[in-house]
Amino acid sequence: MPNQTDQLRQSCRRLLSEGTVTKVIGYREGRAPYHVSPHFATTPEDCDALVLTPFCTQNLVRYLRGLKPEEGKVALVVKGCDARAVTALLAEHQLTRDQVYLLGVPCEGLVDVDKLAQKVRLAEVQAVRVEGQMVLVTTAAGEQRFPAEDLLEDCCRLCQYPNPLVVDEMLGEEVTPRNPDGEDAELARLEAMSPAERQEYFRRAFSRCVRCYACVRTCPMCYCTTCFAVQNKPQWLPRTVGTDENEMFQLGRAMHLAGRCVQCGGCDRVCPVNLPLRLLNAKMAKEVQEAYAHVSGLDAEKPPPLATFDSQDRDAGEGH
Amino acid sequence: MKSYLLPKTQLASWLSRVQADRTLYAPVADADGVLDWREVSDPAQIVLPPGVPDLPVKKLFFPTSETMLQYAYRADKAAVVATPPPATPFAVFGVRPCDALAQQVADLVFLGDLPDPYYQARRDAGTIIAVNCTEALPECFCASLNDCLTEAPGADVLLTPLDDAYLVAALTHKGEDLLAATAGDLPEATEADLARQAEVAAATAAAQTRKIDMEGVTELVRAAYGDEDFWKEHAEACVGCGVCTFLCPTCTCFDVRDDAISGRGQRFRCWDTCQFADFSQEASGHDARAHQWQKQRNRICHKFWYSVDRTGVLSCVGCGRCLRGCASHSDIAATIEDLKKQPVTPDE
Repeated sequence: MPNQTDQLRQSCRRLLSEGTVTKVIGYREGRAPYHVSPHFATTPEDCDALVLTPFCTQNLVRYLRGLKPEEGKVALVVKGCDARAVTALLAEHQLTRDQVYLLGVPCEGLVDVDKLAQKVRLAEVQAVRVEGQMVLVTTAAGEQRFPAEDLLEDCCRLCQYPNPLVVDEMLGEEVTPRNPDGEDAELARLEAMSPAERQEYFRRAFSRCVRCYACVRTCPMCYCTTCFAVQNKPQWLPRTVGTDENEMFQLGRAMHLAGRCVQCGGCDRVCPVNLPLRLLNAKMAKEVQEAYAHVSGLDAEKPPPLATFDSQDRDAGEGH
Repeated sequence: MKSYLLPKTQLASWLSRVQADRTLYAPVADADGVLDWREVSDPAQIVLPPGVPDLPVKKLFFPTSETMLQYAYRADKAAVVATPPPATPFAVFGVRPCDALAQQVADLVFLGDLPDPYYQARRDAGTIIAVNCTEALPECFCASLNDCLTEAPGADVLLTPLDDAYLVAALTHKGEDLLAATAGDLPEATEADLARQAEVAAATAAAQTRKIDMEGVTELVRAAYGDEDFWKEHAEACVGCGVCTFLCPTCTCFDVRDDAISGRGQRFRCWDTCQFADFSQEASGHDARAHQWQKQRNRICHKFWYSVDRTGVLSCVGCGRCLRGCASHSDIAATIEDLKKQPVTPDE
């Protein structure tokens, strides 16, 4: 995406030099193309390091946490999922629209480094780009092509909303959603399990959890000042690491995210023990969608259903 | 100490002999295909990934959480029972040299003047069978820091893959005992085989793409301590999770807590990390390292400075897991390289 990157740098230089924003939050490359880090630019010169690649994984919306109005407007690079997170935060009054300048990136999907490592020697990878149904990997030996289906992150393979729905400036042409109808074969497999099988599947996964809380800390929607999982007084959850406690933590988190998760895949990607967090949150999102016709991050005027109370609700006050 | 040549086709039968008198742990996948250090029932289950496995081996010696004592009390009396870990002998196979070295670094913390009996019991019961690396992952940089590839300090037995055999070398008395009991009729290694071991180690070291000049790193970190801007810039992307420290093979911080209901309870310890919000918070509410940049500075200073002051060794072994696991790809080696570009600031 060289043109898109040029366009991004140009826009960011302009935004900073004109004083429209005080800071740009984007991405920069590390020592290898697949080690991309968040980049915080405060001068036009800082913008030279900004990149857009299929390894710009982190949902930068997380860095808006605690943003104070006096810090001025901040520009943020947002993919489709990231823009949904902004909308979801607006709906929850965690942010006001005038605090952020959104640089929208229509997203072809992110490349899963673990999947890539199965195909090529990572140390030899020079560049990777996604073009429609193919992923093109450049090494010293030349260019190799792989089906996008095999190399994209699961949340990107299954993405319904690759184009940011709320932007101040769109960088590049809109892309065709890979999964417009939200088909999810893995979710269907999960739903086809008996409750006992499903419990066994999740408990086996949760038994691996080391409680590093990387899922919480990378999540754009986890903004509690103190997470219930680490609160001391009262202590909701023992700090012992065991299947039961881990299950309480993960299910507690899933409930907190029901109808709020925007499926950016951040937790899934960062989990050091490969918990199926995307799947768990996709299941919760589907439950909420079916029960309340609500999809997170599409409408800044609609708060998440589980965070609202309506005295006119037909079920309210019936002694449940 | 004796060294043997183990044909690769006989690895499983040798491991079966190792297993005969002790529990064997190794990287084994669960039903979801996720590798972790698990008990081996059949050596065919073992999967040795190229380079270090995703998870460090430290939890076999320092579990994620462990009960230290149990108690019961009433108004007039109390009973306390210590629960030391069972001293069942075990061996762990497939440990990479950097992780074996890391365990030796952890020993300096746990087995110093006041040895930790829980750690000691597991350490005494365990034999580390290391397997040398023949591939470097992009994040590996052990060769810039130590000689683990050639010397494998911390390992009791070291296997080095040669063509169709492993050179099996005992490095400690524990390793010697294990080989005496399990070598059977394996031929002893020749001088030529031993020379090959050094070649393999040198080739792996040369394959590492991250070569960092670590000369004077402790002084460098010490001199930069007061440079707040540097640490703020390098920690701006840190989200404050515990991945870097939980995946670090030398990180050994733990929390001690009680879990009691109706007069019965347990005192346990569980992994903790200097990256967590409440790690350095005092009962008054004051937090000596309230900001994430201070927590990250603590991590780097600990690895390259405090650890050297206290134990004489660096507590970074160059496994690269912190970079690989980090959501924002914070690169500990790049931080050191950036430090070299900094003008020296006076100590605080």
